[in-house]
Amino acid sequence: MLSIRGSKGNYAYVTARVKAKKSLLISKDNYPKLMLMDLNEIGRFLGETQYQVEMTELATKYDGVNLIELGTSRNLARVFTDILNYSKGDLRNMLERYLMRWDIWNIKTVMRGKYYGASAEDIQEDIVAAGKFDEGYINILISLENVEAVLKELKNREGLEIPDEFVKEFQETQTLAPIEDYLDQLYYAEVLACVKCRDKAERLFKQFLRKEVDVTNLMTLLKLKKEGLAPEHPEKYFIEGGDELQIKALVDLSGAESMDRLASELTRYSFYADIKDALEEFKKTGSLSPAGLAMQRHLLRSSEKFSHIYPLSVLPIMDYMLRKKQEVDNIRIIARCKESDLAPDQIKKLLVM
Amino acid sequence: MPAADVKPTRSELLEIKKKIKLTKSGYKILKMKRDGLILEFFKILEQAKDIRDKVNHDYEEAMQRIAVSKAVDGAITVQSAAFALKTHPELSLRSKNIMGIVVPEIEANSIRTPMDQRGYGVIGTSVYIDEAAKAFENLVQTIIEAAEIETTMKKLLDEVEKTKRRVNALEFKVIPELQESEAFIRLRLEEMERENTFRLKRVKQKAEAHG
Repeated sequence: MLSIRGSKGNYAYVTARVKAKKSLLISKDNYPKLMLMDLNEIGRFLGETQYQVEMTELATKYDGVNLIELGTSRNLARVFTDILNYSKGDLRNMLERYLMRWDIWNIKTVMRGKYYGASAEDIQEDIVAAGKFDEGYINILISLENVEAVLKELKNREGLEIPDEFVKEFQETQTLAPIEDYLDQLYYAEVLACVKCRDKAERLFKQFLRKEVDVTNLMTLLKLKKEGLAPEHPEKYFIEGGDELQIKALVDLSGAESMDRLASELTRYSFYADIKDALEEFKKTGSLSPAGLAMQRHLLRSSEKFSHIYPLSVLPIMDYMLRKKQEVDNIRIIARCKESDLAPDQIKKLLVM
Repeated sequence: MPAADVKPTRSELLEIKKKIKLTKSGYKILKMKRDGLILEFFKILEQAKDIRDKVNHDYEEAMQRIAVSKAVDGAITVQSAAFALKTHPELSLRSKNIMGIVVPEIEANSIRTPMDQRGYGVIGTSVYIDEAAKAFENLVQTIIEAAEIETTMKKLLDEVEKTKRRVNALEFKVIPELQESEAFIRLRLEEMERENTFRLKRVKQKAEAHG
């Protein structure tokens, strides 16, 4: 694998850098210690780790849990942008597409903010520039007058054009949901199309992405079922390209009479073992949160398994990105739960390690 | 009216007797109203206790859900999702009558919205945000119910107090004063009659002495 831009990509260099970054991740045995600290102690602990730069920068403006959350998310954005910047060739293309989820996230945030009439400062606080769009471009989007202007501006960005029918629907119904769903579907279509499956590693990467699609579709399916929604065209809520759950199967499953029936239908899928207990818990508590956590753990396990098979491929990079995101999530979970005085047992249940 | 200010005439006596009769029947009716209001108040009190417990429960549930949602998805995500919904619940206020008291009847629209109409996308929004949104919708609904019940209870309580004051005023002030005036007039009339009899006797005696 050569490091020539325009060819396959500089895998050796990027994986070596990522391996070094991976060693900086907070180890599992640090989480119990973090759970015993108060917010100031957590902030100080983070100030002595790889989050030092962001924590110092933001400390003049924010404090407590907001400092921790913003500091960690800005660090995540910086780390991901760094990786993207020193990647080349097809690898960069793949990572760019994979990180497009953050661009989509930022577009959604800008549109929601514009729709609600939030101030530019409020919208800027909610931005995580971890994708291809830099803060400069996002600020241009924020400075636009309304949602229509944002959609018009996006027409100039390749791969992010919103079809006119969605723009028209928004103008008629004044709801952003169809556009947001379209963007999520577009993201997976783009990222799946970008992985060309030229070698086993890329095939595994694609398989992982397909699993991610399965997890997203499964959660959508469970949400629809829980809410008792039976839309006329359920397929509009599902993403194409799943590994085990194809659109037709999902539409059939969405027609299941009850949650029990749906649970029994799901037994034939490989992820059932991971979600079984969470579905049992749903019957008792009526909450799908455990199912969401179970599926997140399922994805992390898959990515870890894949990352060891081909060390000089996109897989360890993607695994690192997932782990980094999970670390940021875990830190935030601990800090926010501490702020809300949630019981340690409840915090432990929410952590994904 | 103090008894001393009353004119001791027969017509005044008749007037006072009429007033006493009317006041006593009014007193009886007000007493029945007070008892009725108290019964109604206790019924509402039970409902108010239940709804207060429900508000506390729903509040705790909503706060816990939003705390978990902020923890797992991040405050940034929660705030971003909140931006997606611009419509506000609409309240329509009507009134109903409980034993002459006008109490509000609050009807709320578009509080509970289905997941696919909350403004944000179904695919990309996590279950935590959905569950927090639902918990807050339940809380708002319960608060509106509580507002209706607690306002009714407050109005009933005010009316019970007012009626109780009126009943007491009639029982301990108006009726005794009227009865006192009645007794005073009776006494004065009897006395005047005695004076008259005595005067007539004196006139008779004088007439007999001269005769």
